[in-house]
Amino acid sequence: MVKHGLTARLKRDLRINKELYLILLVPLIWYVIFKYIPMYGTLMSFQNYNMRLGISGSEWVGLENYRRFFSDPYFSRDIWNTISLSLKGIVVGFPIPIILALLINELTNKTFTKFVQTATYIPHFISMVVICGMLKVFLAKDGVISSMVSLFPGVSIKESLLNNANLFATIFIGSDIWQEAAWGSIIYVAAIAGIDQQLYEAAEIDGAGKFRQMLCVTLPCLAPTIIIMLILRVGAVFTTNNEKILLLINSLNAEKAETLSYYIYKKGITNADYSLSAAAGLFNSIINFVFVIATNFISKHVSETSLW
Amino acid sequence: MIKKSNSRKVFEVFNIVLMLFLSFIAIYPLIFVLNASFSDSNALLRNGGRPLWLPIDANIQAYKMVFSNKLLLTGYMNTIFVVVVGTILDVVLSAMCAYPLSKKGPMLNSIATKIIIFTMFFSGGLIPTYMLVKNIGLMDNIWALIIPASISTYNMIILRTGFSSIPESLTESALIDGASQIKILFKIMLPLVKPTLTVIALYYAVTRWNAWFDASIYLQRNSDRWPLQLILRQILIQNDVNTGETGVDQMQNVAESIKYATIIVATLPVVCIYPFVQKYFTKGVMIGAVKG
Amino acid sequence: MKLFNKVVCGMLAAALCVSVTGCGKKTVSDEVPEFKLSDKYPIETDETLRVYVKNFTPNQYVSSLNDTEFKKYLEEATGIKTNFESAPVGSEDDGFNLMLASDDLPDVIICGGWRNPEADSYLDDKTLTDLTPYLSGGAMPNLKKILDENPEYDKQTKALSGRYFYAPMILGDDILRSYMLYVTRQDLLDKAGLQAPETVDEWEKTLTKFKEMGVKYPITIRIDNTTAPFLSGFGVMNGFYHEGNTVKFGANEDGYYEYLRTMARWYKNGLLDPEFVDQTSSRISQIVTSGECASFYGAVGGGLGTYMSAVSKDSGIRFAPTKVPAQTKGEKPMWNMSQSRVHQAGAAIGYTSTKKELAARFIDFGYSEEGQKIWNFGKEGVSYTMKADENGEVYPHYTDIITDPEKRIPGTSISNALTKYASVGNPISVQSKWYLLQVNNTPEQRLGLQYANDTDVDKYMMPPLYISSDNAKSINDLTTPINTYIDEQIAKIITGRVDTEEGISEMRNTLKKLKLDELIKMHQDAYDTYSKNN
Repeated sequence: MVKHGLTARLKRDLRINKELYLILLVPLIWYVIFKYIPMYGTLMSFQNYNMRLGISGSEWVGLENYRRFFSDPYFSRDIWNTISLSLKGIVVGFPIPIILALLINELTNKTFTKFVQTATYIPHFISMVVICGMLKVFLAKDGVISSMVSLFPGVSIKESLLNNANLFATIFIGSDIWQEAAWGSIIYVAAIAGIDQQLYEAAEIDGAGKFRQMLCVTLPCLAPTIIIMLILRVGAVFTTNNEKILLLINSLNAEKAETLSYYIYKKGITNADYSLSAAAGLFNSIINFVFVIATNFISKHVSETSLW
Repeated sequence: MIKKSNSRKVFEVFNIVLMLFLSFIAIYPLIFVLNASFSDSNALLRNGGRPLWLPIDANIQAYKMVFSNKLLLTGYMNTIFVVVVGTILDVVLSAMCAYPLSKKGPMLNSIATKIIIFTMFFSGGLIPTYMLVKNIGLMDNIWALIIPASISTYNMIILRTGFSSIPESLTESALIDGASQIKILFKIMLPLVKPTLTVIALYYAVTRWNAWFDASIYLQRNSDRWPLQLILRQILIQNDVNTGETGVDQMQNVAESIKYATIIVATLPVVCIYPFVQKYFTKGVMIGAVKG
Repeated sequence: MKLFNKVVCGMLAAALCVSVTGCGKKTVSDEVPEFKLSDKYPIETDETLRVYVKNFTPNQYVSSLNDTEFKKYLEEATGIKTNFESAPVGSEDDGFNLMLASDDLPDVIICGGWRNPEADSYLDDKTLTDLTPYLSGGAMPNLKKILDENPEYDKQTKALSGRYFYAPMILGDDILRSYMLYVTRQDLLDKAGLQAPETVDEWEKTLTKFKEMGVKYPITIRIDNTTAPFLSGFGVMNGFYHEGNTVKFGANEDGYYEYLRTMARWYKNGLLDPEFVDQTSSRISQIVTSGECASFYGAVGGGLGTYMSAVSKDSGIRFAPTKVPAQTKGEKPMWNMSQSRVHQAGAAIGYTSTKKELAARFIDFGYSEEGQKIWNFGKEGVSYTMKADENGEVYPHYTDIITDPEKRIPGTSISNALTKYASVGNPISVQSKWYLLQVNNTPEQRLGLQYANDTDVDKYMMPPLYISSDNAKSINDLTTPINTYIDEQIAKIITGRVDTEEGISEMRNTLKKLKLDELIKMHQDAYDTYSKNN
């Protein structure tokens, strides 16, 4: 007689899947050691953390650090900038690697394809410092990008485009795409490579041209990958690239360019204010997590794919 | 054979032109850096960031200097070690994590997945991690660069997605044949997800190649263990100190061209890796080993 | 599977061990040991000192601190072996803080800037050793002599509580205090028939003339909450300063707003570089060395020195350093960006060190006559010789392996070469003016240094170490938003994005709302406490 209680089911499960669980245990231990044990660091945000005294010795101040964090005059502006940059980045930047992968998939010459892929992902490797230096030159009054923009009727360029706070999002996201799109398309190229060729053959027999094949075969097969990537991307909504902001920000565009993490970093330069950074970090994490839970929930119910 | 329609031909031409354009604007930074590395430093200062289609006052001074930098050579050795050993470790651990989680059977998978994904969002931060590495005794040890940074949950999830598209029947038939799960994983499953595996191996390898931060805090005492990117970063930052703010005026101005030569030397090998890796992305890898 | 099981158990065991290992702090006694070592060098000892240097930038001469001739000279002279370590460039703060948090502190810690409010807390939470007994007990006679002879230095070296926590780098001459120069173009002045400008009005006339002559950017300067060139011409100093016993803040004063009006006018009339908000070195180097930009406010070495050597020989470009702009012609200018004679850079002794007396003697050596020579110049016969210059003054002259570009590694500067033989950046010693004057040895640079230091800044500069650690957080919470606001608002005013008068009155109101008055009061209180205790 097969028992059906929970413990019984669990015992049976452990017996059947023993090998799988053991395999899983190894990386799981790694997670416990290197990810969970350090989590006590979040306690720093509730303390007046002192490096010497450590967690056990530092004074507890409850929510004081959070109060300091939220009551900063620049808090709401910086949050708004962070969200705005991130969301715009997702809306514009997320589809591009996918489109790029689809287009690359349509190239027929193998050598040309290799060349294109290698060339387009080069910016990913060039250090941010150099990229931003180049960007500034392009955006200068007489730079390449400004010259092209001034071709539009009614537009006159008086100074570097970087000084225009309203253009910052475009510049930031545009250059992100320049730097990262090709590298990000690799995952989709790989996914497309894994699609069963028979599906394409069947579609062709049914009379579908290349475009229809893409719509009816490629995209649906890519869907799980796309959805997972999207959920993961949304999970980084509150994590902006500090180094890039540091390199591009100036007094004139700061209004739109200053993100929360950059502000906290600025504040921390004069003091080693670890408690404040910890509080900011925890806040960031919570927001990211909430976004992911929401997106994952939606995706679970709309499609079959989800993160968990 | 189905003839290409006219619109199809137009599309293909347009695609090629577009790709050429994109390749060009993507290659430009490399062209600039390459030219700058062969140029005269003072001429570079006068030129600022303006486009360089040819080197100015071409010379190989910078490369001579770069190759005589002892730290650069040890940096290369260290980086290669970390990349090779690290990537292997990363991929193995990720596979051991992703494979069981991709199965629908095990009851604990759901909790395990949640536990793991949770760590993508919440972390203790720099100090506790540092303390941990210290307490384990990995300080000043090159393994401090390898072990703590091993699994990227992001990559692991990608791999899990790859595994989940393999039909369960494949595993079942192998189990019936008497194979252990470990054997199944390494001998059967991994080859089946080659494209995905290659992608995450590539991601891991490149991340490791580019990494410098861990070395900067764990290897303070031995600069002969520093990886390439850390050394490169030092050279790059020195020159970007904003005028007049530092306490010490004597900006150790590394000659401009050396900065660029170092970038080339530190980056070019990795850039060239893709063509070799691309063969794993060939189409139609799925085979039907099991019918139905 | 058996092997596999073993591995898994091993990892579990490791995990357990790790979680049980606490952060045990070494307990070290507070007692000051008797001083046994003689004060004659070299000292006889087999011990090796661990020396941590926060700011070290490798270059073509020196890839690691342990790799220098300087280290050999020091070890020879003091008799003490050393092992240097440092954090990589760009990660100094993280590396330094983590090092300070560990249980196993270095014997000697050399930092380029000990933080203002943390002096006493370093002593209280047992990070650094209290040096007071070492100084009074005879373990650091050379430093003590200098502090006794100069009570002003003594005052600035002590933490707020009156204890000594570090041995500072002391600037040996006033000319070392400021290295920021106002520079314009001699060849353009000659062409225009003008003298070098000395007041803000004269500068405006000069720049206008340059503009008429076709110069693209008559001047480029960084203007933000940390630096405000030409403000000295308005009777106001940037940031916090004091007049008598009253603490003031630049952006709170009327003179500051006069300054903004002037800068806005300069921008409008095309005198000020329209891209002045972007002061990255690559851009500034380019416009100055190509001749497009005629004037700047910059460092004597990394700025003027670099530009002078990068300018193409046939361009005819010659630079002219000018006096710091004064409010009235002929008067001494109010201030220029300066350090105090007692620099924030210095050496401290880790609390957990077991070789404290040795460390103290090692540090103290730098202040002796022999020590000063080694730190500043290296070794006689190798990196310097005692000579007289054209005025008959005798002092160490660097040898040509340092001064001659042909004998140096190509593409390097004098200061690069020096890092091999001496340690001139932040010496734990008395920094010699002859080092600076020889590194910056062109007449323009020397003149510039003279001008840069010819100000009344001592009357106004805030003393170092006057903020206590308890106040630091609340001061910082007010300071960051205020500084952020100032940066953005003055950029808007100067570039004309807002009407000047509206912008100024908005600025006054917003600063009030951001509690500037409260912040000034906090600084005033801190200053009063400091004055009382000293």
